[in-house]
Amino acid sequence: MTDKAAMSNIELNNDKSHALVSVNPQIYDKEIIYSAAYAMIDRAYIVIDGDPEKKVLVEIRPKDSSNDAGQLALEFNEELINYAVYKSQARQNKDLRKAIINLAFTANSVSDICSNDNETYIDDPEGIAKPWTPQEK
Amino acid sequence: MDSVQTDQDENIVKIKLNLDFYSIEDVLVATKDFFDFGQINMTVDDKNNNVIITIAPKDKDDGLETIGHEFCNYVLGMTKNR
Repeated sequence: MTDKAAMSNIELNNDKSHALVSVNPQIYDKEIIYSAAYAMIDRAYIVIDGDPEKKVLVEIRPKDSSNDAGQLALEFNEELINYAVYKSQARQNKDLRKAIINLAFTANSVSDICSNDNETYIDDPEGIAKPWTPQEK
Repeated sequence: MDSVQTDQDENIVKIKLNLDFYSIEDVLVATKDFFDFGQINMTVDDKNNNVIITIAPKDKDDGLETIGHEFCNYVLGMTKNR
């Protein structure tokens, strides 16, 4: 495990009940911070504060004693990188993704499906389109 | 960062949220959803751009601090999904 003291953006309080993580908003924008925080709300209580232009502070408080505040803070750092990479790649692939979706929609139009005149839904080769009525005795 | 403060004598929890990170709409919806827990009051501290939510739980067995932190997580969930 990484040494928590070596991570300059993590501060543990005296009784180690919670950790305070400083985040640089120039590197990680608000959406990334929200996503990273959201990924941890099942294990920790999170509060976001600070200055959105200069320094964002994220308080991480474990929900139960089985989780360590310092460990959760390290995991939060990893989640930040995770979502930053995801966002960066999504931005890079934006045009390609759009092209694939456009292609998928144009290829599956209704006119393409019903283009064969011989077999339309109006034809009834099996004779099953007749409504059922009970036979009279 | 004392975002959640409890007063055991008064049986209230005060939650302070920064409006730069949490929208007032989300806080309002969360406040409404927490009506079941007890009486809730909301004030805005314009000077510091904070919203202060005070919850007085109906049930004294409910942990004050837990309710306060659960409220914060609830608002965060809504903010993220917006």
